[in-house]
Amino acid sequence: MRDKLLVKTLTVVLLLTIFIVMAGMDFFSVIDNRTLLYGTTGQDVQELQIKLKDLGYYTGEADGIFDLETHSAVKWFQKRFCLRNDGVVDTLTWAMLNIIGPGQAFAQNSTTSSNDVYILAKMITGEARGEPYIGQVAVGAVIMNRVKSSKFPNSVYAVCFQPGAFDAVRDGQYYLPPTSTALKAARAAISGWDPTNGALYYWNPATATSKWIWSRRILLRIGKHVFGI
Amino acid sequence: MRKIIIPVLLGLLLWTGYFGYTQHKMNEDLARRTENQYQRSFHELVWNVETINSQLAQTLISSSPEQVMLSLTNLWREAFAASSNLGGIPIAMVELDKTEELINDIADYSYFILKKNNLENKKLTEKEWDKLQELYERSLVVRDELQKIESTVLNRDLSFVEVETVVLRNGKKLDDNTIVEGFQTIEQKVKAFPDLQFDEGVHKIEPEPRSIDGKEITEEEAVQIARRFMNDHDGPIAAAEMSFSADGKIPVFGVKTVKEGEKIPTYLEITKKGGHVIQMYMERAINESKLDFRAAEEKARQFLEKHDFKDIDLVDINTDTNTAIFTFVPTQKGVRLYSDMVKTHVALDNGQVIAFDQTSYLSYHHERNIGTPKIREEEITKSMNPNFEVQQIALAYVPSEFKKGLEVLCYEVRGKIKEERFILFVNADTGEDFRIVRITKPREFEVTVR
Repeated sequence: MRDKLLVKTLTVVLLLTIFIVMAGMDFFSVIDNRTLLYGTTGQDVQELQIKLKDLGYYTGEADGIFDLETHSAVKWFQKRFCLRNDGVVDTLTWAMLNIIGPGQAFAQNSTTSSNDVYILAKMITGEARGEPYIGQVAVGAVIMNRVKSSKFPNSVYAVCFQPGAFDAVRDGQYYLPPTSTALKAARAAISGWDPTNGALYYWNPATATSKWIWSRRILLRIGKHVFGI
Repeated sequence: MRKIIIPVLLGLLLWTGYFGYTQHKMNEDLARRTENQYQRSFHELVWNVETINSQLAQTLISSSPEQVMLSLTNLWREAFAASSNLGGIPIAMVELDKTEELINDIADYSYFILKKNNLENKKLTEKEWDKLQELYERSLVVRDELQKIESTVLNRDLSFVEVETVVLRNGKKLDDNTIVEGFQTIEQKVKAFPDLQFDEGVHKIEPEPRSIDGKEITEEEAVQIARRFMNDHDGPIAAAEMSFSADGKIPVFGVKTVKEGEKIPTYLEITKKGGHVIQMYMERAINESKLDFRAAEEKARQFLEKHDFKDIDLVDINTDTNTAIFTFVPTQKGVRLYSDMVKTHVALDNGQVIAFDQTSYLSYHHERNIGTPKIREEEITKSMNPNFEVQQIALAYVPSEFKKGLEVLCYEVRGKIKEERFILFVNADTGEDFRIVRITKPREFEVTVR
């Protein structure tokens, strides 16, 4: 009797494990949907296009041909949902497409911006999303001050991507779409607003790992961050 | 039953093992690719510093101006490459201020001599030679240390990715800490040299701000000033509170005010000395544009006039989403004073000034001794590049990028070549181009925000 119960539980656990592991692997693409990419055609591509259309990412015809327009729609969708935005519809993308209903998850907006402002906005979002507005501008201002300083690289992108300089680049938060507040803060910082009056560093006293950062002269504190030269 | 379960479990185990193994392989592959990037930057850095060192040596022994120029050009280039490659390795936890300064000094100084001697084609002066000698000694130390690190990196196959994961991210020490310690040694050795003094004109400078007149104010007074300012500008204020205090180039109090019945705050910065409102930023949402630029400019002028800015010329218009940004400069006897800018942002929905920045004005504005230009306006326009269509011409004082406190009287010539618009600042005494500014608007693209 006990043996039977044991076997039953084991079977359930086993089935569950198999299910979870398989979900993690690309097995779904074999069983359920195949992986779609640029150039693929077929019923499933049409299904994909209809789904993207319902969600508002695709405006073209649902003709079952994975063309450039479909490709960019997929990339847009993947970016919005933090997937690897390579335009390849893999298991994860399929899963996300099935889960998401129209208008769900991240509310999205589109606006226009120059590339420099956008990069800065992404950095601010990754680094200081929870901070008050002025704290976000201050983070942007530090990056702009570094661009101007002779001790740091000369472009916004090079400053942001110095290895180890910013956590948001390290942990990938940079690769998410920015918040509209951050975009505004980025514009303010690029137009010259510098609440820090020339700071080149900032750190969070609660989480800063490096000790030498405290040797910097502290100028001010906004929200969770300390700013210094 | 068991007969089935055991082989299935066993198969699953094997499969999990295989799965883990491939994941591990992929991870390793990724780490290796990152490591290769870092290694490239590092070895290039060593190469750059070696070249810098040998080019400095060549400059010191050569007596022909042509050879010196060639070396200086190489120096200038290699110094830029060195600083870029230094920025490409994960050693952000090591303080390298002095080392970076040295590389920058080499770039600036070689450019300085290049610029000077290019026109006159003369030999190095003794003073220049001495300075280059000093730079050479320092670069030698950096080179030697870098080569030591390089040899250890090669010999023991040290990994920069490891430095990044262990030291930079987790703040722990590596068993073999050669890379970190090596760079620390470089910084210490460079620091040990006396500070290099350069003549004016070598480094680009920002003009020194003038001290602001007035008495020191207290935090309460700052809050009062902000309250009064915003009451006047935006209607009744519900709350005003101290937000921060900063001691940068210009010490300021930051004050946050909130309008009655609203939640989004406005930030003001008030100078600790004199209690001037130096910056104001309203964070409100801006609706659809209703005003054109002309009407918006009028609003900006009214605002500035109210705050005692007289005789100002509009020199630049910029746009942002539903916002116009106007830059004004004050004039004295009709001469534009470019150092003393004031910026205002006007919301195009109702014409309200939503941001205002007079940092430059407060820092630099003073009475000038206006000189008379040696060259007449007609001569300037006559000698222009024939492709350049002159649209507007005015006199202006423009700050020098290299000499402290120096302002040059220039003709400000605005015009265009085809559709490209430029401002040419032409020295009003010598007729030489002092600065050329291309007026471009950054290209805007559709972007997504959340």
